Amino acid sequence: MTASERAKKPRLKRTKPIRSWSGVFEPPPEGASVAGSPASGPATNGAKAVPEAVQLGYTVIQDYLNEARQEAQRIGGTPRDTRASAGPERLTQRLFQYTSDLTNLWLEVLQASTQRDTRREPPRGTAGPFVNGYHAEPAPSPTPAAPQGAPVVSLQSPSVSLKLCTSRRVEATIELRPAPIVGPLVAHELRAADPDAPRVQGIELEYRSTENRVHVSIRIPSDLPEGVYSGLFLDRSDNLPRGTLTVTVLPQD
Amino acid sequence: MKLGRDFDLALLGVGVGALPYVSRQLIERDPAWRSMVEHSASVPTQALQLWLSEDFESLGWRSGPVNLSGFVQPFDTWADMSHLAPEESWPVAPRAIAYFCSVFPDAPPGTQPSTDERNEEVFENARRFLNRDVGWLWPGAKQPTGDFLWDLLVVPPGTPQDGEARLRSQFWRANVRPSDRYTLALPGTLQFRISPLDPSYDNFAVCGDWTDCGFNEGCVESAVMSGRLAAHALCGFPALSEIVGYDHP
Repeated sequence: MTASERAKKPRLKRTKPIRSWSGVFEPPPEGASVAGSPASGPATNGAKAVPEAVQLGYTVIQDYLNEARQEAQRIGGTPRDTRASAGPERLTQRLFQYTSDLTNLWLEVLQASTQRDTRREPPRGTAGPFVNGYHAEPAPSPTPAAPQGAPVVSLQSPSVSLKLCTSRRVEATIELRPAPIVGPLVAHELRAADPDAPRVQGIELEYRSTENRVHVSIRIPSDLPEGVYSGLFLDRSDNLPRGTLTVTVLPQD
Repeated sequence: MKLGRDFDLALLGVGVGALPYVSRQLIERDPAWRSMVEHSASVPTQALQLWLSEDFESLGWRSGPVNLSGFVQPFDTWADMSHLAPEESWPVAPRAIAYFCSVFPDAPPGTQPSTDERNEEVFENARRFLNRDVGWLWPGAKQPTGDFLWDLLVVPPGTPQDGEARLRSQFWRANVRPSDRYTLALPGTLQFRISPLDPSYDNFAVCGDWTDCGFNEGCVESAVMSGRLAAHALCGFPALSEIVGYDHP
């Protein structure tokens, strides 16, 4: 079979999208082109499509407004008069105004609904605190008892105890993320930016849930070059980082 | 397969993670393809779907049908798919369908767990998630002990009916095969994507959410756009003006 005999794709008028405002509200001018090919335009019916899209958008917005108005009436608010004259500029203004109003109204509704029911206790778990129809504050305290055999999870940020064994001048920084620790914790070896630099190994980590405290033990070799060495703390339960450890080895006095 | 006998035109529609395995010769010979594959990235995902005997409002969710993300691992995304219940062939339709998904970490370096083993990891994630986390969304789905109320799960006849065993009848999956991985849209990589309209090969087109389709994100919308663009490339239909979202400012 020769190249001329086999089936081929049709030759396309263009291979790129039209990224221009000029074609949105009216058909593109005759002979207009996009990169690499002559333009066929996004549709000569663009002028028709836009009003239809705007109309559809208003239908959706009106539905939202109706729902919001009903909700506002239910909680004692006063509905707005949404009637206004037409016209492109006025329509645009109304669109932005309604979006702004709807956002504010929604926030008010959310606030009102979350203040209504404060009797329900938030559920136990490691997620959150979230708002789901009840007031999320204050956070559950003390931490509800976990089922027997299950890890105790605290929603409070843990404290840190650091044991540093070194003959060098160093600075150590520990940053813990505000996420519950299920544990056990493991630490990556500390690395410098230079991949050939030696690494700090043997970091010991222990999370004591009864104290809500992370115990960290680091031994810095006496011959470790000056520099910054960093590594992650990971929670074995989900292998996600719970914090970072950075050790800066300073010049000898 | 032989050109002219077995096929005339070819369409490559696998997931981006499978490209290195199915298009090796193209990648070796074509710098554009090599560059696209080198700049592509994907991650495994995990999915869980539950069929429930109560609707979400009854379970304490008061915000109506929802598709939310940013929740907790191992399932940070929840979509209410209850509208599908009437389309399924249940003797008695469930009152709610919940779909969860999230990124699923790659297996640790040096290990090669089987797909079954990874599926089992997802099952354990699901069990833990339901016992520990889902109560924040559905306060009414908890037992007095705080664990998930397993009786809420609708199970087909002939499947385990007791407690956690009911979870075995639901759907969970580790999307770890190369073609199943989720396409990432990382900064600085989109310009390397190849369009379904690319004319470099006169009997070949690509499609998928990893292509340059005008909406270069990993989602079903871009996959649909890409597929329609590929159809346009191969046969001229549909017209580009009919592919929603392709032409815009």
